[in-house]
Amino acid sequence: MIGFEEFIVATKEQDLLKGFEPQHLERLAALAREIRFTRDQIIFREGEQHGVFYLIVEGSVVLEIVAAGRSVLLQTLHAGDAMGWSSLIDTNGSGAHFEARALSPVRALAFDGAKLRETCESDTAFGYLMMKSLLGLLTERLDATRMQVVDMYAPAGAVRG
Amino acid sequence: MTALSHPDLLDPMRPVLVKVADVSRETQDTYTIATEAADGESLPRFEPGQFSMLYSYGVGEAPISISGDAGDAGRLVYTIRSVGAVSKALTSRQPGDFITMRGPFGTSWPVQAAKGSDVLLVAGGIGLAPLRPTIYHILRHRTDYGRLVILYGARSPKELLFRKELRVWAKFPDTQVLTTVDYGAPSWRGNVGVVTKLFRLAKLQPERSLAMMCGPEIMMRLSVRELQARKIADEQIYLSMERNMKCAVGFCGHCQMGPYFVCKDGPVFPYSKMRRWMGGLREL
Repeated sequence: MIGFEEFIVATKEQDLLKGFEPQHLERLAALAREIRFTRDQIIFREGEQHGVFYLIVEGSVVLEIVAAGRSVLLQTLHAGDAMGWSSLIDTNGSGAHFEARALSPVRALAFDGAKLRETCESDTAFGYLMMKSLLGLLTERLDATRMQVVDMYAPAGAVRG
Repeated sequence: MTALSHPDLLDPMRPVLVKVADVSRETQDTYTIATEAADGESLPRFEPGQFSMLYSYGVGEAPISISGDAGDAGRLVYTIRSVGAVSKALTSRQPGDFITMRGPFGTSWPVQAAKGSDVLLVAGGIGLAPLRPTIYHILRHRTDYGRLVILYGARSPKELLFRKELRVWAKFPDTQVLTTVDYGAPSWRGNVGVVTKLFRLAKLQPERSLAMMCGPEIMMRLSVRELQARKIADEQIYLSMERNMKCAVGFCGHCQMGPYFVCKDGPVFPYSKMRRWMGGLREL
């Protein structure tokens, strides 16, 4: 648990929480605990049922996936980013979709996914806001993934140097 | 913005013979070539953001942005990605070889108008090359400008241009250099993801910032959205557009974009002029 004021300071850069009213932030703060990871520490592994949703307060994290026997880096997350969103939805036991590794010392706020889901269900106004914000996060991630799929830096058409 | 031409070049269609002075490899397919006047006289001056038409005998001509230092009067430097017949021919030249050049042509980055402002440069892939002269200018006149932020995205770490210089630039006062790649090997400790993800890390004062960007059009469109979300006005945003330029003087129409010819009215445009024409138009 962390204090409400401390929570507000720690989450001031969080895009996810923009639009949250003080009462919603209070509900969220009551579920938060501070956690730290050392450089190169694995935060969660692909397929692991870690059940935790994180808001990064300081440091950088890389999301990676193993493909064709080697690790592929997918995205770097920084202070103000969220991760572990699969803990907020029913994944039918599939667990985390990626591996998350600390690129630097990381300070984060951790939320028990099951408790957060329960709060969303019992307080539907809060739940709607949370899911709406999560949808914004997913849209941003999907846009970023689409941009990577487009392979926009490919040589085709790059005549003028 | 200014449109300059060679003071001695009476006919902009007439090429000038230049000698390749130096060739250096930047990445697997990208080279920087420095050219000097073949006749021992000086080359024309250029403004950051302008381009030349470089011609390789028997192969063809291509528009190439100038990537060198405008303060170096003796040379014109180009960074070329070897992707087609002309660029392959140009990048296979050796020191002492000759090519021909027309120009410099086109509008330039607003380096004078940016004085006193924070400057945000957003580059993608080979798009860092046309912005490099601006970086040289700002770093040489560092106290004339506010904060300098360079956001640069490439496909992979080995495709980042000017890697040594990126490290040097980051050491200048009030200068922030952030790079990102689409795909990184596990040993890569930098950023992975699209360049727009870097905006959140940029330390700028929007009301006193001027943004210049060059890269794939889709990257620039999304970057404009990020800038608008940060309350940077359309008039404070400049883009370098890329189209199929042939004559370089607005005669042939190959590079037309709405009412503009990219070769003559650009390549550098304020976004306020370009917003209607970006996105929906396919190149002819």
